[in-house]
Amino acid sequence: MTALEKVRGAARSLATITKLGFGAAPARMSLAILAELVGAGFALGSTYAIKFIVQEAAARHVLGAVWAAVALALTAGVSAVAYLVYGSLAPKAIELVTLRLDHELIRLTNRIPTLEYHDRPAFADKLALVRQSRQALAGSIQVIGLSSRTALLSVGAIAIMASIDLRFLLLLLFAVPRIFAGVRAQKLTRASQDAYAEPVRLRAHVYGLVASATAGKEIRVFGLQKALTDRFLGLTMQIRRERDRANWGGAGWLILGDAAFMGAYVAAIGWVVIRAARGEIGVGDVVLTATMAAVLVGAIALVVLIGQYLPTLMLTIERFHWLEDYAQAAPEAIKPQTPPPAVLARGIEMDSVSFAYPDRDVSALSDVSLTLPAGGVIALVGENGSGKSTLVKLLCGFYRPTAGRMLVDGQDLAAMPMEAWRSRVCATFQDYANFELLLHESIGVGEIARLGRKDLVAQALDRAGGSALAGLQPDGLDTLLGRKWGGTELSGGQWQKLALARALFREGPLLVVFDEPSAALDAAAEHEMFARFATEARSGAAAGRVTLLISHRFSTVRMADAIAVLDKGRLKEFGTHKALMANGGLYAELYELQATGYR
Amino acid sequence: MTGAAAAMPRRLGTISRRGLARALCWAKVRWDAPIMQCARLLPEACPVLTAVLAALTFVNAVAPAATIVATGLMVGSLPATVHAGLASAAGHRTLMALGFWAGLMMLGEICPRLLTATADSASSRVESRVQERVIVALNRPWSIAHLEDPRTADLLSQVSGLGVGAVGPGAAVSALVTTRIPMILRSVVSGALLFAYSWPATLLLFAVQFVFVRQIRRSWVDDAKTLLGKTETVRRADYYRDLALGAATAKEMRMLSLSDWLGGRLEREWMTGLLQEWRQRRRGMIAGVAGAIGMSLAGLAVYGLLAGDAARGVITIGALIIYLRAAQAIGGWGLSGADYAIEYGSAALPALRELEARTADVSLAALKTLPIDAPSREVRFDNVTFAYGAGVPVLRDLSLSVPAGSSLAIVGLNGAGKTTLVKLLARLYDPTSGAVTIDGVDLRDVDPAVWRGQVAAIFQDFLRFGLSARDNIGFGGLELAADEGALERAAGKAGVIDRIRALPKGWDTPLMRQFTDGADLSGGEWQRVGLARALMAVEAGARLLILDEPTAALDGRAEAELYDRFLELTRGLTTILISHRFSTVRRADRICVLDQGSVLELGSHVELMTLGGKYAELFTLQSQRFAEAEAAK
Repeated sequence: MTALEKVRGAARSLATITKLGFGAAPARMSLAILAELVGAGFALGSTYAIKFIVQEAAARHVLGAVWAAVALALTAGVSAVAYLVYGSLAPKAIELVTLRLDHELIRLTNRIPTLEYHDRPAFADKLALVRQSRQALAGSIQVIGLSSRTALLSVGAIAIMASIDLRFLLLLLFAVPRIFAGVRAQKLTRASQDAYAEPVRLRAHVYGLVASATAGKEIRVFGLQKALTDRFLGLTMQIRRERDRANWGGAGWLILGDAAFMGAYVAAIGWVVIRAARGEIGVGDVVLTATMAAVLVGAIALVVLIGQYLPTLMLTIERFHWLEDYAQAAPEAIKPQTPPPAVLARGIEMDSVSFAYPDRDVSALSDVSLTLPAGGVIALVGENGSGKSTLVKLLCGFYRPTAGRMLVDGQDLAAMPMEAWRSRVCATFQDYANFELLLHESIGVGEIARLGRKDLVAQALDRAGGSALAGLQPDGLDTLLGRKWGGTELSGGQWQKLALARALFREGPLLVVFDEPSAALDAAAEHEMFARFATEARSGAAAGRVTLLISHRFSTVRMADAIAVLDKGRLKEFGTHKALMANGGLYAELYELQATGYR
Repeated sequence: MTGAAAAMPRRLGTISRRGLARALCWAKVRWDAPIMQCARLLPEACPVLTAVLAALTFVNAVAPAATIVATGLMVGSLPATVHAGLASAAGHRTLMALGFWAGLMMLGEICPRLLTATADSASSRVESRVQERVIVALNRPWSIAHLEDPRTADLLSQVSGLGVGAVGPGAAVSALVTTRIPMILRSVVSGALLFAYSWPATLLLFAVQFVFVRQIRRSWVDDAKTLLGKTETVRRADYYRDLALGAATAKEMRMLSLSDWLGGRLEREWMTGLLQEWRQRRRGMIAGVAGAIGMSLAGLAVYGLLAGDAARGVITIGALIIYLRAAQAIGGWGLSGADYAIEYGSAALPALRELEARTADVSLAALKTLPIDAPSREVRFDNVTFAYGAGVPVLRDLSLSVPAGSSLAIVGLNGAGKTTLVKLLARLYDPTSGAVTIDGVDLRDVDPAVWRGQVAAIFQDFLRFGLSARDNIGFGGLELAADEGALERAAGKAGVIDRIRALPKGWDTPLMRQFTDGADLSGGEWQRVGLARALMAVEAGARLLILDEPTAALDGRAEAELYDRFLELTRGLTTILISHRFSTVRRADRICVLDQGSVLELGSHVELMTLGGKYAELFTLQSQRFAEAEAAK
């Protein structure tokens, strides 16, 4: 990176921060900066006042000296007030910016239509880093005030020094090694941060395990308490070694830089003192230059601090920009866009669809051609890793096929606004989420526009075979779920019924996907659900609704109109239960396997 | 008269005793202040660094005062030097003062640098020490009830840091040693210098300063307290953020377009806490500004006095500079800006203490030990009733006996209490009433660690450690972790050995892709790893095997394969199997149907089918669909 690019990068970072700060808290940011400037200006003024006190006292002007003392008290007082105001405003501005950043992160992350961070660890890592640095990013708005103060202090201090003797400007040359040292220290810090990023993550993982009740069971049953504590301590030592090395190495560089600048400064003052001793300049000027030392050193330290801080900050902001660009660059729908049809007339077709996850060599789906006819109930079966869930992800628009097309009533799915399409799909996934909200909210989020409609929630719950949950202790539909809030904890099967109800809460879907809908359900609940399933599917058939069912349970699967059998990403068999059984292929084999268990 | 005279010393005695008591009380309050608890962690976490810190802090406080004196001496000697020339005695004094001044300036620049570096190392040690104590505290109880207690979650959130910026104990320690203590010391040393000029002036400055500092500090203390009271709100906001950004919920977020709604919820939670804080801070700021005005008025008096005295020749120019700078330095303390970090960050300590108190060991007196082959006769539930906290009982008056060496399958409707029963058996909880006995010994009388040595388990929500394959399976039997043969056997029986051998670094491959050379396993593979872990415990001598839905993530073929070896896997063990799949359940020696927390039916598959009760009904439900299919054929 050239120096120019670096400067440009720094400028862009500052611009982003400024936008962020002023966007979230305009009044507070302006006031905070004003307070910084007033504080710095009056601090310079009070240094000058001391010079006058000494001068006037040396000249035996009692009144003049006292007035100068008054000026000192006033300037120092104003500076202190400004500082206090800043100290009270800054945290509030940071809090507002953090909130704004939360919103931005949520917005940007959810704009990414694909699920790469679900499936790609490197991406997940990067996203986690952005999340972690949001506080650092919010705190960075202080840089604006700090920079203003630094600029004023540096210019003021230099002007005052130059007013005594222009040759003092030479001192600025000695700030160069100081800045160089700052850069070196920063490099060490970054290198060490990279080195301990992984142990830090692992340590957080161990800490999280110990604090979770789920893990707590196994930790106790297997007696892992000490093993995990030892692991934690080992990682801590590893992190500590890296951190300490950077910390002390950096301090060494900074001390060298400090010594270079202070050496020059002290020499300059020595020269001033000798000139004063020769009677060439006044005593007041000696006091001023000596006092100015603190101001100038402080100003340079601030410059260096900002210089040191900026690269870290830029790194943080770059990550944020990366997310912004990523969300921006998400594959837009092919133009012209077509909204999803009101009802399905033909159905959903997969036309020689292939798909490989990014960064993976093996195709998850290869050349799958399959028609899900309007109004039909299709079952999808296959062994672990055969591509069933991938197919669902493509249907939900989480990914675009690597080759081939997905057609909804003949319209390319890629040309549909994703949000509009998804609002017509309802799906329960194998790894469905448990929303620990109020019971009715946990279902109502299925269609946010109808959140709060408890009557509809009760209906959905009923259709999902969970009407008993409506009477959940202690508050029925208003029961708070999740033990972490002191609410009611549900069993695995109950959570699954909730997930089903959430999917069924949606109105008028074109596609309904149930991925392993009964894995955690007991036999009776499963049976009841299938009976409802059939009715549900038929009731939507008029609107052309397609129901896609994924299950390992072949007793369920056979009620579908047609069954698609996937094997290693390829469509192996397709047909009715009867036809496939007669065929004697993979489906028949798997079916037999399960049926024997019940003979 | 004499009486009054005699009463005097008594009264004085009472007053001084009362004063002493009050002083002691004050000292105790200060000693117990969160920041003091935080500071006491320093010698605990890093004794050597603490000593270095103390020395550096001292130098850091004295050096600026000495610089003031050197400046005063240097400037003060100048008029005489101007008069007599540099070669004179006065000139020598000037040069000597210059030399001192130069040395002190260097020291004053380097010392804070060292202090900062030391404080940085120390604060990260304090932070780790706090986490270590949290881990130890969380691991201490034999039960897991505390991990499901919302109060524990509150305390953990407080320990990890307060406020939007999550300011933690490390930041508090850092602010204390790099800012507050040096500022106070500098104030005191400067006060000592000014004392030589005028003690009333010194006292005036200190008195005003004291009021000022108190006001500012109090506002931050209140602020932190408010925030502590809102911990659940903060956790909820964190939860909404996790939902919106977490990978686990990514699919739902997109399907349901929930991000805006969650963002709104997040903001609402934050705002309820923040609004109150902002009001408090504004009050604090106003008090602070009033204090600062008081400080500058007091400064006005002192500076004016000094300037007048110097102009009238009462004190020399050198003394003027010394006193002036000293008077200024006294006031620095209130403006340190360290209070925010100190009050927010140190809130972790009382939370840590409460956590430690809540998890303190329940005395496990007079514990019996079990023979290494326990259970050798039976595992028994005697009229066991159990409820989580004050909730509805999950198990009601349940009695059940499992003969040692046999297998028992537990079936039942969702929420019937299957998993809870297993938790009681592993003694993760004690029954609310009734008893679980092993060969006649009440589990409550047995050291939990001893009993768990006899138990091997795979739970429904088994763990996925982000550690190596070796750890993931070896954790089942720590004492055998070095025994490659045992690992291979366990992994072999669970059917995952080939997968492990194929991993990039074999047994040492971390089982999460986020880690270097890591690999991701599929759900089914993970389940086999969990099973292998339980089988490793069997290798290490466990006699009771708990299998809670051990094949939920496996496909039909894999499941069938595993259950074909069910007898081989459970030979010689007492086995408890929970499953929804009746085709597997029927292989158990006996089957227990749980309903509403009690035993409804108990017997072998054949017996229960003959009985024609709930089991027969449920089994038929599942099997008839196959039967229908057969019939249709």
